Amino acid sequence: MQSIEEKLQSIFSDYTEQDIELVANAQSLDEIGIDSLSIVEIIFDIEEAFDIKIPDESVLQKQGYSFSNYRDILTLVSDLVKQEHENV
Amino acid sequence: MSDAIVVSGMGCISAAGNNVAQFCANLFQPTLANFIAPTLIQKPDENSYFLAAQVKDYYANEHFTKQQLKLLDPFAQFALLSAEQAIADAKLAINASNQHRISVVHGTSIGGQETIEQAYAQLFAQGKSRTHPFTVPKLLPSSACGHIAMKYGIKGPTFATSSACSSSGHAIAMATLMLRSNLIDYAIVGGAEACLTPGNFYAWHGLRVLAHDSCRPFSKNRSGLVMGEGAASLVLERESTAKNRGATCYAKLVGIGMSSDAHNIVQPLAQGAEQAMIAALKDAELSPSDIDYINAHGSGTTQNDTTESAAILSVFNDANAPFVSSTKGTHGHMLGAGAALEAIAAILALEKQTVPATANFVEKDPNCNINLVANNKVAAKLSHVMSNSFAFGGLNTSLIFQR
Repeated sequence: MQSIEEKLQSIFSDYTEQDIELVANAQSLDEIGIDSLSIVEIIFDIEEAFDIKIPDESVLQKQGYSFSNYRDILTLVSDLVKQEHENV
Repeated sequence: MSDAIVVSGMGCISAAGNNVAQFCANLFQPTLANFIAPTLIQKPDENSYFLAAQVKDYYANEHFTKQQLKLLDPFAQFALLSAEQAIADAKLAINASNQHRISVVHGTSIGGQETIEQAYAQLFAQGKSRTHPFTVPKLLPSSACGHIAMKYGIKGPTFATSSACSSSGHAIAMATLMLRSNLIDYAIVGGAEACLTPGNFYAWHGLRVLAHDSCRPFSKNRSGLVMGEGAASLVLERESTAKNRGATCYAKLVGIGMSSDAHNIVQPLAQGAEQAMIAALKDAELSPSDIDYINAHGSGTTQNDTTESAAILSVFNDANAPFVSSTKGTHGHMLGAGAALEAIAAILALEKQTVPATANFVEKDPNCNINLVANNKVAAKLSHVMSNSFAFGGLNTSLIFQR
């Protein structure tokens, strides 16, 4: 079974041709050529792949999360998947 | 008229041809081929077949990238392809010097129907809790115009027209008015429809207007209409502009007529159709006897065919009855794209000095006492041709082209 990180990398690979090291270290999604249109698609893909719901940006901010780069997204997705498991 | 509006480019994709050359060859061949076939609609509990005029040999991924297709409903794909052909045909160079003086006016009856149906299937049949984030930008009826404008950097007035089966007739009329008033120098006009979707078939089936065997306009014991998909685009400009840049002029668009029945949402009224034809004649400063051929709306429904025949008989007197044909038996009823494709058919008739035939005609209908060209094309001297489009809601357009 794929790990969360592997699944997330697979999703990102559909939207950027950059090497995963670069993707992981980029400070912003813009830096790796991901525009705002692709971000909404990535959110959709993540929700479908992990069966989770990503809250709106304002809610994320209040909870101390961000969707601004790969590392932040990995943290968010890992926490949401964990919460989902706890709820089941 | 001081400076006529001319057609300098044409493009189309339809069941009867994926470009104007193919369409022309199919429309004027000695024996009309059949481009209409049953289409399988699968539902969980049953399979059904509906007659459809489907575009053939079309593979979206040969024309668009995976990324582009995420944002393009089939109707927008067809619109882009027909516009691309028309712009190339017109040899129109679009650049910083003219991009603000070019308009895109493209009509559609229903817009992104496939996108809507897919999203609804996900939500209401597959139990999903979300739809793809591009559902809205894909389904918008105006998305085709936006994509054409983006592709070519067109920055003038750009909008969609929607008046059911007259949508692209209104698009052509609106652009003509903008050209006449010097708001713009060029217009990319037309219409697109990708209506051969399961939900749409059942919706039209509910109206009991779909043909079960063939589409035979103006023929007694007709069976109804056959939906078709595709798109058609034309480049319009003033004659002086076209001459200055050495563009080919396929025809002059000399008259536009528009009217509303203000009567019934599905039942047409002859007076409304008459009013549109009379308005077009008046606009062109022509008399009825000047019209040599009418490309009728001729949908193949009893209500349209008898009403349109009555309207034609009322406007045109017996002595100089123009030839009439409906080409819908060949390319199907392309709803919002119909008027634009039939405008091209009318222009091709002028070019070839031949009236295209009404396919599948079997028996004369005493309620359609018009000078119908049935089954076989007719060579004739054609100076002025009219193209009619009459839509649900009684929304009518009539266009007159001159050689």
